[in-house]
Order: sequence, then structure tokens, then C-alpha cells
Amino acid sequence: MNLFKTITIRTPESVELEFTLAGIGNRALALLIDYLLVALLISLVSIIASFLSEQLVSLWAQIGGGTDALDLWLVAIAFLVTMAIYWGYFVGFETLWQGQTPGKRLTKIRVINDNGKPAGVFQATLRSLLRPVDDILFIGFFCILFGQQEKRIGDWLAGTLVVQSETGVGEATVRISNSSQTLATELMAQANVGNLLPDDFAMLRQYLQRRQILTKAARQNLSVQMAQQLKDIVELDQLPEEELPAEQFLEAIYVAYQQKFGDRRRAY
Amino acid sequence: MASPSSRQLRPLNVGDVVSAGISLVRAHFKTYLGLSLKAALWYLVPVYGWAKGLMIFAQIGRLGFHEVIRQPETVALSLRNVRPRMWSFLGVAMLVSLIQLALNYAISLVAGILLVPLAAIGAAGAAAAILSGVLIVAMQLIIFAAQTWIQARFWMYDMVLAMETESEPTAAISRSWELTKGSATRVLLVLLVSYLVMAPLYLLSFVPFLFTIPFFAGVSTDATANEALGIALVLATLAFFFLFFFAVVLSAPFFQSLKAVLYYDLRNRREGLDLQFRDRPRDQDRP
Repeated sequence: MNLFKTITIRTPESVELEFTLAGIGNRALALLIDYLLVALLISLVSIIASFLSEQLVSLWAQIGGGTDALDLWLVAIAFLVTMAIYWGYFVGFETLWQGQTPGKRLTKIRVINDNGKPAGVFQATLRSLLRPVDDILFIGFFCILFGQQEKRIGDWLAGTLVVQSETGVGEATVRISNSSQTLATELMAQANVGNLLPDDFAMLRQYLQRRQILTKAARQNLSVQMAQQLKDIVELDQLPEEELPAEQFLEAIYVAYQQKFGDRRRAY
Repeated sequence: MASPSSRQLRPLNVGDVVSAGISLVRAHFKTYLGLSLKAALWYLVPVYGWAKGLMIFAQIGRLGFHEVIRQPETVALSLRNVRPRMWSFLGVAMLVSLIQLALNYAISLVAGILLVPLAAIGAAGAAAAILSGVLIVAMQLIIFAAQTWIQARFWMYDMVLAMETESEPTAAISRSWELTKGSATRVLLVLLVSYLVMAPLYLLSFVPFLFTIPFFAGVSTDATANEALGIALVLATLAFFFLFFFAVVLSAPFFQSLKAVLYYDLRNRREGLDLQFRDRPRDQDRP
């Protein structure tokens, strides 16, 4: 069984793109964060506004106007400003940040068009106009939970999808020791680094990025196990140095592959 | 290219854990609900039933974990695996509650000592009273955070007991502590989100007590009103127990599935379960 729903989009150029849908958990959490921020923003504005309106009312009274009509106007303005913040927040962020709001950015999801392109102002506006409708009785919640494409009503009308934006865990860059750098040049001459598939290289990079959060024992075991497998893959009969630490070997292979093929190489 | 679905899952974030937990329950709703009902019924039997109930709840977690790693187990097989440890589930649960109780008590004690000077500030004047109020509320929040943090660090023990059957039962406690190291905030967020999702269900079970409110009106003036109140309270309590039981049965599969996904994810982060080179036949025609 698949725990996460995926969707394949065919672009006009006949390129198939696969996306993982955001999932109810991410979307609920993102909404929680966004609503907290909106509430904070509205309360901040209303505190400032209440000070200003008090001044305005007393000024108006001094001039000699009736305050009843003014109060009504101020209430109307306050209502409009609140709505503007509520909708402006979602429309503004989703347009400027390519489908992401602060909540979505933290939960690593984004809004895209049904055709895979980034969502525009029009889509963002439709989505946020229908947001209150989706919130009534958790209609949107159930639509996302039971729908095949996880669309709430706003998503249906705007023709948008909410997908995961790929991000890694661990360090962003791989740290390589100096001794591994020199070892890499030796390995490039001795071993068939080209035997490594792009997938293997990606896995190797994953390990090097995530090794810091691994437990000591797991790090030890994994590095030795991976080094042994790699030694077979690159057809290296004997290690360049005796008593070579496994991690240093892994780093060296990583550097060697990177120097030969760059970070990405197409699969055959 | 191997399809991504044939691989193990990458490390997940909080929302992913909740989504995956929900899809797990949805896919196996009948099985998990049946087990959950069985466990909840056993709970009504003292001691032996408690151990059995805890074991069945952990069994749901074990089934969930095997789904996540794509090596499904049958209900009968998983039962055979956890049954030898039945009494460990009760023993370790009691041990963990004792440890948590002691730690929570210690936190409250320290916080209580710190609260005294904070409250004393308030006597200095109106502004100081506001300051002291804010500080006291902040202190309460810190206490709450500390206690939930401890709960998060111990939360995985029954998954460990159900999964790592070859190690000592009491080692499950330190193992849970080790697995959640550096991930306490993540576990906490998962806990908070799942409590939020399940809160309405539990709140529902308190509804019967609302109906007893009118009966309080005539109390102490006449005897029949007292009697009526008594009957109403008994009925409300019965209804409460019934609804609470229902809430437990319904929410337990969700919590256990969540735990299974979280246990997988924590192990993945700490032990790199997904860090494996792909098995492949070595092709001959490679240059």
C-alpha cells in the first residue's frame, strides 16, 4: 500500500512529472500556522486602529459633527481592513512566493496549477475567496481526506493542486575531509567510478548528509556496509591504503564521481 | 529505473506522519477497530485484562509498522510475536508511569519554588501585578512544555516492546529515550496535532453531564429533587463511561498507527533504514 498519494502530470511537451500530494496532515498544520499569523496580524492592526479611531472620534466631536454616523463608518472600515488582511495574506503570499504561504513553506508544500505550472494571481484569489466556504463544518477537510486528488472546493474551482516540494534532511552540503580529496584522485585512476548509477550516487549523498543525526552504532555499521558494497560496484580489488576508515572511502568515492560526472548524470 | 514506491520511505516531517497514520487506519480500518474493541473490552478485567489490552494495542502498532516497511504481517503472526511479552507491556507501562510521575512531581516542585518570588512581585503595585501575572502564566506554560516534552521522550516504549522482542523489556524505556533524541519537538508536534484531531471525540463523552444541570435547581430544599439529581448523575456517569469507551475504541487505532509511522521515522532518522543501495543485476554491456 502507498501511504502517500502521488499524481502524474503530462506537460504539453509530453514530459511526465510525478508529484507527491501534500497530505491532510501537512495541510492542516500549514493552515494552523497561517491562521495564527493572520490572527496576530489582525489583532496588531486593530490595536493601532482603535487608538487612531479614538483620536478621530474626539476630533470629530470637537469640530461639532455627530459621532453615530462616524462610528458606523469606522466599523465598516475595520471590517473591510480585516477582510483585506485575511484574503490579502493568502493571495499575496501564494502569488509572490510561488504558491507558498509562511505555513506552507514551513511544512514544505506548495500550490501548483493542474498542468504543473506555478499558480498565478487568479488561482490564488479563487482559492482564498472560497477558503471560508471550505472551513464551514470542515467541508474542505473531508474533501481533502476522501478525494483522490486531495482537492478542497477552492482547489476544484481554481484548478490547483497542493503538492510537496522536495527537500532533504540533514546538512545542505556534504563536508569532505582533505585526505579524502587526495584519495579521490587515486581512486579515479584505479577504480571504475562510472559503474556507480545516479541512484547509487544519490544514496551516497543522502548518507553523507544524514550521518550526523545517526546513532553511533548505526553510523559505524552503515558506513562499513556501504563501503563494502561500493568496493564491489567500482571493481576495486584492494583498497589504496590499509586500515582505511570506511567513511573516508565513501567521501572519496563521492568526490571522484562528482568530479567525473558532476552532480547529475542521466540514467542510460 | 526502479519506481520510487519500491524503496523505503525518506525521513518524514510532522504533517507527513499524521497523513501516513490516517491512511494506515483507513486502509485497515476493520482489522484495527476489531483489535481495538477487543483490547478495550479486556481493559474491563483487572490486571490480567490490562496486560492483555496493552498487548493488543501494541499489536496494532506492530501491524502498522510492518505495513510501513512493506512487509505486512498477518494478525495471527503478530500476535504470536507479541504474546510472550504480554506481562512486560503492563510492567513497563507501570514503570514508565512511575518515572513520569516522579519527574513531573520534581518539575512542579522546582516550578512551585520559583513561582513564590514571581507572585511576590505582584504586591508592589498595579504595573507589577500585571508583570507578575504575565510571568506566572509564562511559568505555567514552561511547566506544561517540560511535562509534555518528557511524555514525548517516553512515548515510543510500547512500540519498542512490540518490535524489538529480542532485547530486555526494561531496555525499551532507554531505547525510546534514545530514539526520540533530537526529535522531541517533532514527536510533541505530532502529539499536539493528533490530540487536536481527537479532542472532539473525547469532549463528546462529557455531554451527558450537561443534562444533569437542570436537576441542581431544586437541590437541598426538597428531598425528591435530591433523589432526582442522584438518579440523573448516575445515568449521566453511565452514559459518560459508555461514550468514553466508544471514544477510546475509535481513537486508539489512529494513535497506534501514528505511533507506528513515527517509530519507523525515528528509526529511519537515527539508523538510516532507507540508506541502502539498490539491488541490481550487474549488467554486462556496461563500458
